[in-house]
Amino acid sequence: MDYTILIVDDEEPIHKLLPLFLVRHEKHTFTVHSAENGAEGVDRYNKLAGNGQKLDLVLMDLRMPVMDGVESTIRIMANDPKANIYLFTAYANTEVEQEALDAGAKGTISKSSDWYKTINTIVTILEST
Amino acid sequence: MIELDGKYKCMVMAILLGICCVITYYFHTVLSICVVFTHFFYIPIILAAVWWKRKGLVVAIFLAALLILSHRAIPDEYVAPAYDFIRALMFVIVAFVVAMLSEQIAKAEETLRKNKEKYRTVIENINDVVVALDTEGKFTYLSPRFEEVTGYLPEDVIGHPFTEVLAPEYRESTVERFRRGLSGETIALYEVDLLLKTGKRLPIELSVTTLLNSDGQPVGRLAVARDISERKKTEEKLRLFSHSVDSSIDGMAMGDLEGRITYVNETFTKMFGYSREELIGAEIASIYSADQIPKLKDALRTTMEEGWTGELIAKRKNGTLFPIVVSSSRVKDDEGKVIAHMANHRDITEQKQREEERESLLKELEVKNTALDSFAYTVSHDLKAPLVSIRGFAGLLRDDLKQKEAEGVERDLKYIETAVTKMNHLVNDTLELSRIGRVANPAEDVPFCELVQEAQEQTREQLNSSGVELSVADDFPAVHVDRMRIVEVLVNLITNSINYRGEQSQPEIEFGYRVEGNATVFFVADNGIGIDKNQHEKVFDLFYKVDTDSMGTGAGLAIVKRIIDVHGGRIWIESEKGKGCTVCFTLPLSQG
Repeated sequence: MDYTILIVDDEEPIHKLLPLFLVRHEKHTFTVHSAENGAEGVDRYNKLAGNGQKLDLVLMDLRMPVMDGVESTIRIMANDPKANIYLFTAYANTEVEQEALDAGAKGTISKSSDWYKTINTIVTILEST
Repeated sequence: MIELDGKYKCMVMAILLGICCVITYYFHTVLSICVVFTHFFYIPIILAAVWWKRKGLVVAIFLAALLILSHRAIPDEYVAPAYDFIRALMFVIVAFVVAMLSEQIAKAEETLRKNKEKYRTVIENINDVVVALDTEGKFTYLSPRFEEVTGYLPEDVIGHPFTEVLAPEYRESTVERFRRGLSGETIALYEVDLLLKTGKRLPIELSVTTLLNSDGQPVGRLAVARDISERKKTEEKLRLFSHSVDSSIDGMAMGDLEGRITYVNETFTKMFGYSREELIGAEIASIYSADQIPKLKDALRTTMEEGWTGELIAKRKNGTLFPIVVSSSRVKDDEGKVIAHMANHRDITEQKQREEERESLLKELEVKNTALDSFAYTVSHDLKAPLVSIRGFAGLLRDDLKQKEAEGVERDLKYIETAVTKMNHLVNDTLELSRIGRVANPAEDVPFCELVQEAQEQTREQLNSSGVELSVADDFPAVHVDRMRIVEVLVNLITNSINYRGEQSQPEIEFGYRVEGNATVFFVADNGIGIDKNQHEKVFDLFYKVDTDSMGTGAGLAIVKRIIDVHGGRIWIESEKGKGCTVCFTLPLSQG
């Protein structure tokens, strides 16, 4: 399967890491789009969706400049209620996380665990959708 | 006067009458002469009249009859001559007169005796001790209470000077009074201590009058002594009570039923700033804030029913108001009738202040706790981000090493290094932020323009290379601040303005100030890219970056805000996106 993922995160190394790990996955292929903050993430999502491109998963960081993950989630959900947004954070179980879940994010993927595990979680989510 | 029992009187009378009969017989019968020695007859007549009063007339009548009738015994004369009739009449008259006089004397004696008895009963039954003294001050009479009270036996004391039963320190003054009293001066009541037989003392009150004889000459002094030990105890208790009320740390006051002050202690006068004279008679309402009157009226009414405790706002003489706690109760007389109310007043200004301080400290603590939560979240989150990278690239590094991918290894290491460097910066900035407030230089008075100059010096290179024009107001007030920290703030703001000057062809920074009411607001304004309104507060958050490409860790404005906060000032942003940015802040001004 070929999956398309949008990663919204202000940490440049994360943008780099995700494709480097995904590319090692043997079963599926991935197309990774990245945005550096929430506002850019919303733009990117809308643009891709507007082009008729299917986005299988959005990985959304919470603390970002310009626009945070909560606001970004709200905006994406407003435009596309079917958006498959998962919070991608190193620091779970916070009020901010709950706000984003309330806004429509489907769940949380922890950044801080082993990256292979993180990739497995992402694949499981993608396969189950 | 011969005092005999009735029996002996009768015997004496019988003998005397016998003698009279013998005399009559001797003269009339033996000597046969008409003359009788009747002078003797007056003895039994007078004695009988004295002894038996009018009943004694019987003796006179008997002797008169004897004298007249005994003439029959004379042979030649049967009828008594006229002079014997006269004698007989004289017997009766003398007897009658003596009987009358004797009766009157007996009556007077009886009255005197009764009076004496009465006074003695009074003197001997009153609770006070009565003593009589002669003119030398020696005891001549002691009432029975004397022995009961002092323990001295009358025989030990009678004839001794009164000073012997007085406590030594009273002797001289009492002798002096005794002399003055004898010489006719009226001596008022006075108090002395008796020295009892047991060696103890007894406080007494003396009332002494001079005894005069029938000629009006002083013959001694009569003293009435009253035991006043109970009264003294009560007085001492009252004195102690009064002293304790007067020296109470609470303001004590008493009021009458008309709502006027009748008593205040010293603390009360100090508390309200009035003198005692000003307060006595003043209306209670006059020492309270006008808006307290309804509450005061309620309090007074409740006091009369059951007592009242509560807080009121009191007013000092100088008009200043202060909070007090009043606890009042009614005062009753012996019959249980309410006659006054007594209240105790405590100034609770300090207590109130402490309460307010505690409230504000609690509030501050709450704010700080929230800030700490947010700080902990931010720091943990942002410190974790580089860790996530390191972990990721370390994983890749292991794979790349296995596969001997030299290029990959190089890249992984570079990312790990970058992440470590970033983490180092974050930790340094966090430490720096925590140092503000913990490590402070003493505040000093310094002209604000000097601080601007210093900041300008420190950023000269950046200013020159970026071509930013700096303008500074020339009439800045002096401020009272930690010099180094405020320069740090200004350097930070200048650096921000340079970094966010955007594509501005003539970048400018203006240092100025304006006065808003009581506050002097300093500002640093630039004509750079500006900040969107919804980020005006966020930019002060720790590690918050306006955009991903911004330089530094995003701790700069958090540090700036913290420094201004520690100075008790306020900082905010006035800006619109694309229209430059103005950072405003307040600082404590120099008092000089």
